[in-house]
Amino acid sequence: MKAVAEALCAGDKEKTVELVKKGIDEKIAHPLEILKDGLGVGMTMAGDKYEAGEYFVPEMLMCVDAMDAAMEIVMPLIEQELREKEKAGGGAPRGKVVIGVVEGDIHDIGKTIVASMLRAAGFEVIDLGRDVPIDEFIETAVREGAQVIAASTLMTPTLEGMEEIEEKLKEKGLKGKIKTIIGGGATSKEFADEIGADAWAADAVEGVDAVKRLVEEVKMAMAEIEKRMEAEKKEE
Amino acid sequence: MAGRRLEEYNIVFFPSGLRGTFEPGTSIFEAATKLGVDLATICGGQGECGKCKVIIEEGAEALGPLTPSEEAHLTEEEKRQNYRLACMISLPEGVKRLVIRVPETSRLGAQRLQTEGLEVDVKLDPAVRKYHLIMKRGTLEDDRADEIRLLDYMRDLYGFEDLEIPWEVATTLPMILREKGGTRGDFDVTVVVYDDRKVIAVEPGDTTGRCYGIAVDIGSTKLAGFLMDLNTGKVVAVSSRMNPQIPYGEDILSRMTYAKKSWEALKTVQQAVINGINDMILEMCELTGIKPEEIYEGVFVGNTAMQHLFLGIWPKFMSLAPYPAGIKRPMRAPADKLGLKIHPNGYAWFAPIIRGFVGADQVAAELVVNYLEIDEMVLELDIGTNTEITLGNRHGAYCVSCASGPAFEGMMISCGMRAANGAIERIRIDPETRELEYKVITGIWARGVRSCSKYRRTITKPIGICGSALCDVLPEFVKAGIIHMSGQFNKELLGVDPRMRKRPDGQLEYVIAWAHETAHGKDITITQNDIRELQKAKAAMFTGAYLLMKEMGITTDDIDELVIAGAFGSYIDPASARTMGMYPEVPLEKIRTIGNAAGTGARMALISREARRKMEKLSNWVKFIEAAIHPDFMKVYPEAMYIPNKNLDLFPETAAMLKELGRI
Repeated sequence: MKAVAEALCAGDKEKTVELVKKGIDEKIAHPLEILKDGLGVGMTMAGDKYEAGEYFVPEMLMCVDAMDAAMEIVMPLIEQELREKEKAGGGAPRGKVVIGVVEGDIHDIGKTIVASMLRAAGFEVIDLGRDVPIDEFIETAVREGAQVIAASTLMTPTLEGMEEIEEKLKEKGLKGKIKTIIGGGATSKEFADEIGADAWAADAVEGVDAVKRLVEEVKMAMAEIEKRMEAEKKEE
Repeated sequence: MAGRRLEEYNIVFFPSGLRGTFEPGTSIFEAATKLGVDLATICGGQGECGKCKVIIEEGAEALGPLTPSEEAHLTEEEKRQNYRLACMISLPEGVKRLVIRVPETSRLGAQRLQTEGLEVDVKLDPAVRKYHLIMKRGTLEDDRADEIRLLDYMRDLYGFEDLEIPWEVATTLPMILREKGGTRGDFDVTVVVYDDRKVIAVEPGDTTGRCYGIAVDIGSTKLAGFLMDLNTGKVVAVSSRMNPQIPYGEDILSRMTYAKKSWEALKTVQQAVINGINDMILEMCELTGIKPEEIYEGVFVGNTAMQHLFLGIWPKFMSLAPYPAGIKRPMRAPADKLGLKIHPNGYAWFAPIIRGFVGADQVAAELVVNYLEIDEMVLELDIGTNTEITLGNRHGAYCVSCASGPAFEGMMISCGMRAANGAIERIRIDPETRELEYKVITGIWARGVRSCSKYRRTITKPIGICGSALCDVLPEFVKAGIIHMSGQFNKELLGVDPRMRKRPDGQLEYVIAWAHETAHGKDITITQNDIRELQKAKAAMFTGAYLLMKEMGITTDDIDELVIAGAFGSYIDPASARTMGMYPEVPLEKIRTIGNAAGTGARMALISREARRKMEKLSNWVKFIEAAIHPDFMKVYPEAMYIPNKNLDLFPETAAMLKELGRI
């Protein structure tokens, strides 16, 4: 596991893939374990290096590349297992995040790094890509039952789209049921507060922490609602 | 690419847009000096000279009463308008924000505004021409209407077959024809013809010697205006100033974000730039004794955002991907309707653009390089917040636009500032000993053919670092082993080199100037984040150039000439830019700077209709490629973040040098 993490952190795609394959083929580790203790730890290590100023965009992109390649092997296995578990009625569902660059902007390097780090942290990530219409963010989140919408933009004129996400969520009564996080060059903490986004992150590392928190909040809120509904039913 | 938002700062200066966060009690004069705001002073902030008058636009009520010095220096009218002396007031406790306007009279104009550009030979053929006529007045036998008589003379004497006399000229025509000759003499007039088709004015007597036009480069930061004699093609006066739109957004994106809020907002931003241009016209007219009515045409060049905001074209959609421009072809607008203070029947002509983020300024640069006619393969870059690059020759050319960001303009950089007094403009580090030298901009005189500033400020100590020195940072640091090729600080120097140290926030930084050397008594440093911003900017530029080379199927060796346009480009050290990998590694002798190509192009277009036709042709002929979604972008861009590049095969000379220094 440590070797996987180190290979990933070094951005060594071939070695990462090789180790992951070996781990699965020789049944050294469980796919979920590889994701969590290998790839997840590796991406966290890379994130720490980024925070420390040691890594920058090129290094992060190499890690992302290695991560994506490894995920291609691990994910199908995990999906399969989770489906089986769900059928059996066990296992807590993972957090789901819908991510994309808002309509009118095509700069997506930052978003790609965040998406990859979220996957490494165990989230199910639906990446809508760049120039994503506002409605698509919301429709996808509703359809997929995602807890969090993560929207990014580098450019100032497209900040409007983020505000629109908030407004539309409010309109549809989804605020709180789906939480939002924004990021990217043009955004700031103040802007996030101003439009009522639930979180803002300066970089991918902060982003992952914030999404973890948001997913928990949504789950708790939903559990609360369910409890209340059950209680109401009982009273009836 | 936005900087921090306005609200994050507690002192903001307009029109420069410079801002900062200061402790309560900080003198406004001191804040201005620290930020590099252009503010006049003779006494150096003692309240004696009364030169540092400023207008408090927000937060005036929180300031204390006028000091005796202010009472003495301010007129009653100024007091009513919230004028204060910057050196006599300080940031009060508990005030959210002070917004301070530095009026033109309190500015030195000392910001280094580049207005010069290459002089290019063009055949004189302006759109506006004057024709002198002496006509026999009518008789009972010859009772032609004034209009017909004028047209007949214009046909017989000058060969015009199909001239239009519009209503606004016709109304006064009978009066003007008879102004010189009295009741019995001949008609003696000068006819002003626009583009061989339309009479835009008829003037009494012979005024053919006085025919002027203005050429203006509308930069998002700076305006540069040239008053030109259309009879000779010579520049007779030059004026420049900050773009008055800056308060509505420092960079073009935030400015567009402001303008697209409403029709009124657009009009406000449009009026700001037109007012600025009118001020320049008045200034140049005063200097030369030329009257605004003797200026018949203005030719304007700027990027697509500036084009929209100058002409008042709805800008919303061009600010969003796929960035469709409202108009592309040259646009002619009546001067009076635009509010331009030249002859009311004159015209404003805005040059054609290529597309959303490749505007008329790039077309102008392509005109100056003369892509339509050259055989040599030329790579031309206009370096700025948005960097436009064109590559090709007369057989074909491609262009690209890269969102390089404002790092090289000193924004997003902790000690960054604009090129003004007190800015470090060069940094040199001995690669062996790491001995560091820097050069500071001191006492720049104002610019222009016939303008000069009255006061000279002598700041000799540095305040911050401007773009040309920021351009030295990456190459000098790499050569001296202060950073690795990846841009990461070399931690081994920590504790070895006193200039390298850890900041409270955990970042590493490198000291360029120690506190005792600086004007504000604080260290001037380059932080790890600063390095990262510079890397992103230069990588974007290289990526653009490299994608063009791939598109054309050429290598560095095939480039015959590398041309750097734009104000910033003429101050940087081409060797530094090349070593950091901002552009392909062509031999230094192949690199040439052409200065403010937008200004040069505007001047060419003003005096030559052939130049205008070429611009229109270029705007359609040069092919555009979108860098950000190019399939190779994700490979080229990250590699270009390394200094000079991760792919050292592209930089054999620099690689050899770094090897010799033992850096790789």
